[in-house]
Order: sequence, then C-alpha cells, then structure tokens
Amino acid sequence: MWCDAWTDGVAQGPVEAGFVDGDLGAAHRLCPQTSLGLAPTAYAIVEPENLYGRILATGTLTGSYALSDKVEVYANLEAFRFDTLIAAISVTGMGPGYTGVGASWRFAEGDHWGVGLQGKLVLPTAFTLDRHSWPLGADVGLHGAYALRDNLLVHGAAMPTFRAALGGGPAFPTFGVNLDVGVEWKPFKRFGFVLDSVSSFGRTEALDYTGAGVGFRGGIGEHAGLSLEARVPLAGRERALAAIDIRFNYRF
Amino acid sequence: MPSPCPDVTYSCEGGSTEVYVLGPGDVPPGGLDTLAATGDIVLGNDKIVAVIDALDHPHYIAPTGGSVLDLGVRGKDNDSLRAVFGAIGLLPEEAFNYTSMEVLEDGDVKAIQLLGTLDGYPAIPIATRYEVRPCEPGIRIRTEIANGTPDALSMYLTDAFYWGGREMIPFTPRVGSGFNHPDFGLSTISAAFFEVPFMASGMHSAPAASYGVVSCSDDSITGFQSDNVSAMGAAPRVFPSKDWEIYERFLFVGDGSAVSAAADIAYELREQLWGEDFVTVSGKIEAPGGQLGDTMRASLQIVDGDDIPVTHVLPAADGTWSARVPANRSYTLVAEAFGKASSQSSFDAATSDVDVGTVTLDAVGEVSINVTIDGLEDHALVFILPADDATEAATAGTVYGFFEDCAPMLGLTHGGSPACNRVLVNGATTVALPAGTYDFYTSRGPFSTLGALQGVAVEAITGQSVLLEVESLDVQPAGTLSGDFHVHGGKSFDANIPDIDRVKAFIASGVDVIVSTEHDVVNDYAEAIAALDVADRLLMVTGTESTGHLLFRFREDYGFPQVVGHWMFWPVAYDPEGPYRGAAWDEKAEPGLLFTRQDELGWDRDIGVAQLNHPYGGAQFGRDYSWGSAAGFDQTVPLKETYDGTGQSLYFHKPDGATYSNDAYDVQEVMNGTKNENLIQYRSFWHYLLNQGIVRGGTANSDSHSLVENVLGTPRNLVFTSTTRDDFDVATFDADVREGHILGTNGPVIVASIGDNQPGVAVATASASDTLHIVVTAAPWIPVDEVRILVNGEVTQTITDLATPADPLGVDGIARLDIEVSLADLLPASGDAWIVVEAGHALVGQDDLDCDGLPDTGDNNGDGKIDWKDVEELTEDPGVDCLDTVGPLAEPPEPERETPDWLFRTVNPGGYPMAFTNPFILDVDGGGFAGPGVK
Repeated sequence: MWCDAWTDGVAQGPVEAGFVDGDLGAAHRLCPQTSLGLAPTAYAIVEPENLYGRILATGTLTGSYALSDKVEVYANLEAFRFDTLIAAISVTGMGPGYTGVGASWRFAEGDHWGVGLQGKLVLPTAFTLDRHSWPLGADVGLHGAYALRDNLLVHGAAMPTFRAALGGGPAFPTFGVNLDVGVEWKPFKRFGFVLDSVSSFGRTEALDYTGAGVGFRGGIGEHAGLSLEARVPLAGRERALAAIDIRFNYRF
Repeated sequence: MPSPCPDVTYSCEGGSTEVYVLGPGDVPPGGLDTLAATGDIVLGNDKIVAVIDALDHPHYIAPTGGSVLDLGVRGKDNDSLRAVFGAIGLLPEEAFNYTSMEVLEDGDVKAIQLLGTLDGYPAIPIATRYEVRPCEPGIRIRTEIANGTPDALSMYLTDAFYWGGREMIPFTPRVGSGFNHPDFGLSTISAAFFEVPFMASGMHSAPAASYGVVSCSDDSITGFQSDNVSAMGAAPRVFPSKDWEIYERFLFVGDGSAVSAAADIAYELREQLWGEDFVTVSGKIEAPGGQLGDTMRASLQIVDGDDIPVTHVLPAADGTWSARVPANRSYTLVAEAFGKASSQSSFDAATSDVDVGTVTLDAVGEVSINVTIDGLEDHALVFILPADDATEAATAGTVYGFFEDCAPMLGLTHGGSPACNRVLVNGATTVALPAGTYDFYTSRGPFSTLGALQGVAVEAITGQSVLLEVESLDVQPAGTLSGDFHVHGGKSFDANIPDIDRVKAFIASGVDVIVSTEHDVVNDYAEAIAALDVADRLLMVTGTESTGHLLFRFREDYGFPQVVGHWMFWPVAYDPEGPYRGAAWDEKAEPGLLFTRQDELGWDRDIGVAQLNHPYGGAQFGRDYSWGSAAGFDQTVPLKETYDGTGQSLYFHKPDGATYSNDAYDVQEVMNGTKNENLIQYRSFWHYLLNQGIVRGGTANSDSHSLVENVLGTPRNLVFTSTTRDDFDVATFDADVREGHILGTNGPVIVASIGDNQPGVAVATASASDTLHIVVTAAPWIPVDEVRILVNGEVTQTITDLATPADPLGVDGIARLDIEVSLADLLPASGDAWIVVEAGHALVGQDDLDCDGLPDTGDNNGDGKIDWKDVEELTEDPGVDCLDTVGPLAEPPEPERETPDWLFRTVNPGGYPMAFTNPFILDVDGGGFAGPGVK
C-alpha cells in the first residue's frame, strides 16, 4: 500500500505553507495520521518602492486524528499571530490568529494511487486583528496521488476556495481555485522532500500567483518529524516574497 | 449612514440649521482663509458656518473635494482654516477620493454624505457624513471604511488639518506638550504619534477662529502635530483584508485666536461623552504701565500638576480672562509676554468655578516711533534690534517655541504688525518694549538712505519717542520700474498677515509694481488698498504661484512620487467667486500642463509671464520646492532633447494633454529671498542653461510671506521699460520682463551697455572692438566691494577699486564705478559669448561635492577648504570622490557691529549685497548665438 512508506514522522503531502490566512486553499495529505505539532510560520512582503513591507509570523498548533486509514480530521490553530506593517506609519498587531478545521477522505484508491475529497473551514478567530468583520473561509477539493515507486509519489490537487466577511460591513466575497501538482521523494528512511508547482486563480485577480512549493522533511525517530517548507510566487499578483513554515510534528 | 456622535447634546433657544450649494452672488463666510467658491456646499447652524468644497474643486493635499474648506463662527467672518480632509495614511493614495455627494435634510438635522474610495485603492470604499444640528459649535463627522483589497494595510483613519505653515499652531493636553511637539520626518513620524484627549489650535491674527476635535468613538484621539499639518484620528492599526472601521468625531470652532476658545468646547464635549467634569477659571492680567490690550500682548498657559498644559488663554483688552479646565486638579498659571514666561502662580480647581485674581506682568517701557520719508510721515517698516548682548539675551523669545526666535518679540511672528521685532508705522506709532537698549532702523527699500537711531535706552514704565528720517536717493535709473514678482499675503496657505498690513508693507517697501502671487489662489488686495486709499501709490498685478501638493510620479529614474516645484503666472484675473479665485487647479501636472491649464483659464500667454521660482531647494512635508531639484538635473551633462522618462529629459518634455512643453517659461528667479545664500544654486542653473543656448531672463524677488523672514521688495527687479507709474501698461511691462530687460538687486544698481545694446534675452551682434560700459551706483549704506564680469559663466574680470561712501548713514557717495571694458579682454578666442555683470559682495564660497555640477556645500567648519568635513550629516570620511550626502550651503559670515555689512543686515537680515544684470547674448561669429556648451 503506497501510504506505508510514510508511516513514520516524516511529513507527507503537498506543501502546506500558504499565502492566505489559515492556509486557505492548501491541499492536505491523503494519508491520515494522528498527530500533534507546532508550526512557526512566516510570510514577508518587501516593497520599498511602495513604502510597504509586511512581516507576518504565527505560532500554529496543529493536530489531526485518523478516524480510519482513509479519513482524517485536523485542525490548525494560530495560537499567536504577529503582523507588522512597515509603511509610512508602521503598525503592529498581535493576538490569536485564524483557526482551520478540516477533513480529508480518501474515497478511492488502488495499490499505487489514491484520490481524496478534502476541505476545511478557516474560522474568524483573529479577534484582535479583525476588529469588526468576521472573515470566514472555506475550501473543498479533490486531491490525488500516484506512487511511481514506494518512496516516490506524484500528487495533484484542485482546491476551490471561498472567503467572505460576516458582520455589518461589506462581505467582499472572493472565489478562487488553487492548483497543485508535485512530486514527493523519500530517498532515505528519515529524509524526504517535496517539490510542487502551485498556482491560484481568481481570488484576487485572474492569476493570483503561480510558483513553486518546496519542502525538506526529516524524521526524528519513529514518531517525530521536522520539516522546512516554503511557497514562493514567481508570477501573478501575489506580493509576498515567500511563505515559510517550520513544522514539528509528533505522530502517535 | 447613521448620525454621528449620538451622545452629544446641545440645546438653545432659536437654533437653526442650513445646507445649500453656494451659487453666483451668494456671500460666502468671511475670514482671512476663506476659499468658498460657487458650487461648494455651505453647511451651518446658528453657531457656525462651514463650507465643504465641491468634488471638482479640491484643495491642497486632497485629491477631490469633500473636505472641510472653511469653518467659522456664525456672524464673525473669522474663517482661519485651510482645509481638513480625510486619509488613512501619509501617502497620496491613502487620501479620500470622493465620487459622489448627497445633501440630506431631516428636520433640523442637515447633512452631507460623501461616497468614494481611497485615492489609490478603488477596492477600499469610504463614506463620510458631515452633519450639523441646531445650537452646536461644530460639525459631527462619521467615516466608514472597509478593506476590500486582499492585503493588510496600515490604517490611520484620520482628519488631516492642513495648516499650511506660519498659521495655526496646534495644542495638545499631554505631559510636557501644549504647544511643544516633537520634530519628525517621514522616517521618524511613528515616534511623533501621541494619544491625547483632544487637539485644539491657536492662531496669530485677528479676526481668527480656533479649532479642535474630539473623538466620539474613543476616549482619546491619536496623531501628530506640526505647523504644516496636524493629523488627529483613530489609533493606527493593522487593517486586515475584509475588515472595516467607523470613526466618529466632533470638529468644532471657537471664536478668537486663543486655544481656550476651542478647548472650552472640548472640555464640554468630553463631559458629555466621557463624564469628565470641568470648572471655569477666571482672573485678570495686567501690566504695570497699563499697556496690555493697547500696545502689548500677553497670554496665559494653564498647566496641571502632572505637567500637562490644559489650555491657553488670551486676555480681553481689559485684561480679564476665563477658561475651562478639568476639575479636581492643581494648576500652575504661566503668564507669557514678549515670547517669554513673565510670571507664575498656582491654584487648585476642585468642582466649582475658581477666580484666581490678578496676575501682574513685568513692567515694560513704551516707545513712540515715527518715520518721515523726504520730510513727510509715511508708511515704513521699522526694525527694532537689541543694541547690546545683554538686551539680546534678555528679550529673545518665540511664539510658544514655534517659528523663529525674535529679540524683542513684540508680536506674534507671522501675524500683523508688530510682528517679531518689526513694526509698521504711519505716523507716530507706540509699541511696548521690555527694558533694554535698542537700535531702530528703517528704509524705503534699497534706493533711499537708511534711517537709524542707535542706542536708545528703554526703561520700565517710562515712555519716549523715536524719529527716523529717510531720504530718497537718485539711485533708481530713469526709465525703470521696480517690481517684486513674488509676494504672499494671508490668502496663501503659508501666510497669515492681514491684507491691510500686507498693503502697508507694499507701500513701505517703495516697490513700484507688486505682482500678487498667492500660493494656488489669486488675491487683488482691493479692499485693503481701498481702505488705505493707496491705489494711486501702488501698481498691482494679480498672479498666482502654482504650488504642487499632490505627489505623483513623473520621473522613471526616481523611486518616489514628487511635485514639480513652484511656478509663477501673471497676470491672472481675480475671480472673487471662483475656485482658487481665478487660478487653475495645479496638481498632478508637469510644468507644461500647468502652463496649459492656466492658459485655458484665461492667463494670456502673449501678454503674461511664466516664471520658474527658486529652481533648487529642499522639500516641505515631502513636497518639492523646486523644479531643478525635483527633476534632478545633472549640470555636468547637457539636457536631453528626447524624452526618455528620466529627469534629465524632462526639461523639454511636452506632457500628455499639454499645449506647452516644460521649458515654455519666460524667466527664472536668480535671486529669491532676503537671506540669499541659495542664489548660488539658482545662478548655477541659469548659467547651465545659458551655456546650452537656452536663454531665459533672470529675476530677483523677495518671496515675502510676512513682516518677518524675507523683507518685501528685497531683492527686487528694476525693469527697464517704456511704461510708467502714471500710465502703466501691464502688457508693455511684461514684454520687457520676458525680454529680460531686468536688473536684479538687493541694493547695488548696475547700468551696463555694449554700444546701444542693453542686457536681455535678444541676440545682439558684437565684436572685440566693442566695449562694455558699466556704471554702478548704490545708497551709501549698501556695501559694494566688487564688480564681476562673467563671460560664459566664468568670472573673467573682478573689479575691486570701487568708491566707498564716507558716511554710510549719509546721502553722499552714491556713485561707485563708471568704467569701460574692452570686449577684446573678455570674449573667448572663438565662438559666441554671453556676459553678465554682478556687483556687491564677494560670493560666499560653495562647492559641488556630489559631482552634479550644482554647488551644494560651503566651508561650514571654517578650515579654508570645502570637503566632506563640511557636510552636516557626515561624521567620517566616506572615501569617495563624489558624496551621496552633501550640504548645507555656507551662509555669509556674521558681520561685526557698526561695519557697513552690519548696517546692510539691519534691514536685510541674513543677506549680503548682490546685483546682477541679465545677459548680453552676443553673436560674435555672425552665425547666430550658440552657447558654449556645458562646462
């Protein structure tokens, strides 16, 4: 069974570091696990020509529970979000960030492949940053993987996204779709990496971005893992230099 | 939108409200700063009257109308407000851009609702409601904004109070503050933000209003203060995508120039909004000699036990005063007179009103000043200077720390007379003076004797008289009219002098032709001229100084938005009801487009003049003063004739939509300002152009904004023209200006000729057999040390053996030089030439340390050489030939007392004598004039 190569602490699945609050639109792994983790993340925009810079950092707690070998529920809780804007008038906001609650169901599979339906809600829990609105996000999509070899996977995902503000102000609804095609390779027992072609359409402009996702994933013993992942836009409207995650995960 | 500030309640008998569009013939609210025009919206009640500018009449930094343009107390005609507009930050794209305006009426509630977006963010909608109700001393304002972009923004939802400079001075009740606010720049502005209960402002002149704002959304209000702009709004914060915000505030106006007029309202509002009790404090202030309210001004600041200044009061003419202060605090009462603290006392304010009794100021003396011009009493500007160091130290003061130090500080710096240490007189005029020894000086411009009375000892309580006698001298050549083509009055955003005093200063200067050049508007001073009955003594030409406020990008080789500096146009007809009073909207336009807009509005290019003002300079609040600096011309290489987006190619560029190209101006300022160290840069640019065969006339103007700083008419132009004072024809006069038939001077007079040819922009033929005839005259008190002959920008001869008057305060010794110089000794070996003659002092040495051809740094450390050690911002050798950081220019050395230079400075503060002719443009080789090329 193709998921068996990833039963230890080495992370599996597409790059999850994202540009959108709560990693909206980022595909989730297809191989369920029960785990707890900590993921400091960072996101930076540097535009001195526009007198604009942004450094966003979060301390995210992650947790997942495998309901079966096909179904996982998970949550990402930005326990702390630090958002600083370097502008003519620089400002900083701090407090709890967004909360993502999702599920993944691998509904069809063979010996070398699997296809899943997955989705999540990004809940408006950044109470000190969103002073008045309640921005709610959701994504749902299909994610498939094919094992070329035991330690070599290709994957692809299409994740439509929706986000809108609740409350008394304008909703500003946005719709988009994220596409992710990539390859995961685990050449060593305790080390693997992932390289994705990532794109987003329609959320802000016709082409939000197209770029690369890359991750280096290590294992610490049988249960723990540490990964460094980044998503880098190469074209499109996205202004960030990169979004970067460092994820520590303990798999039960 | 809901009504703002629901917790505010006022009631009165007979209250009323109104809202209407100002139509032709409607009388707008009065006041020194009134700009209401046909099409604007009047919103008022029984207490106040406000004007919201029409969407297509934006003013100053606002990209569209919808700003509070005028605001005054009903019936007082005391509008003193430039503009209040909305923004969420400092950048141009963060200002409110309104696209629709709706008038709302619901019984006695009258309102205007505006919808739009941020100027640079169409996805960020904004809505603002201005509302008046009966009996209320201000306007309720509510703004709603939502972030429809995908990005988080820095949001400082604020009202920007554009004071303009030299006008309103903001006051905030904060520890150690009051009128004291930190200096800041764009990179340090975050440190200048403070939370305060309210902001109020004080003014110089009367009639005046004072203004203030409190937040109805929060118990504090946040912002920064300067005499250019104050911003007061909700605390800055991260504005995430899809979030929204509401900010409600009450903008109020008080009658009078004291902060207390507005602060009293602020305390009443805070009691209603936040339950903060206040009490009324009253008392009396008196001067032992009884001068208060007559020849002397004084004020009071009230500071609480935590060092928080809570208000500022100006006493009535009889010395009585009252003001509201927070209850249950202990206070110190600080009396101020002549720009210094005079006395101090303490009192407690519990929960009931307090009478603190009488405060007695330090005793002062009085001097009655009179001036005669050719034996007759007349208008004059008198300079009162400390005669010794002790008097200087004892009398130096400031306006609450703002503006220049003055010794003595007789009146608020940029207001009417007396201002700083200068007094307008017309017949015996009495001023109060602190005890000390003083000198008194005046002149009728540079072509008269210097009236002087030195060492006058003034004692407390006593009075005495000073008579200054001035005689006209035969210095101004026949066939000339003197002119100052750059003067400002109270209609300019950065001037506060009442029109009546401005016109008195016109007369006192002895200038024949005044070109009225208010920033962005036109003013004809007609009422003041009529009131003073001086129409027959003054030739007034109305114009305007186009002054960019809205930053925009016009250089592809520069990373930040800019403005194109300042440009002058005259004549421009005064339109008392029109937007900008007849001037064109002048934002977001390269010079060629400015010329086009003025042309389309009626400025007649054929009889008018376009002038490039002060071609180099810095920036004020990020707005470039000068075209040369903004374009960044490199004077070591020629200008580019083909536009490629770079600054160097902007000179000849014709902007989209323009009829004219950027170089379609007639003259440029070579001298600007009484304090004239910058002329070396203006002169450098003029010569740079002449060397490329780009010939424009040179002018010399005062750029006077008040009775202080630049002295009106110093420097000035002598225009050689066939029109006269008695039969003045502006077309003829302007034609001679465009032709460069001008001598620019702050004292020396040069009459130069080559055969029948006079200086000017027209090409003349000449040969080595011709001679240059130079005649130099000057009033005895004007030092003329040398005459320089410049050929193609290089000083070819310096003549130093000039006659020196025996008595600088006498009438003799006008003739200084009469010489013939052979062109054979001047002309280059080949090619054509342009020749300029200068007279006065040796120029202060300056050098070009950043290798762009523009002198930028002087010998500021006095070590005899100009290098990196003279650069103010460098502490170590950068180790490069061309520095990135340069300046400042060196100022002329401070002269020793009683020297001729010192006498010159008494009425020309900071300046040194200088005159220049316009160029002789000489076609020597017979093939037409060709410049020698960039050097």
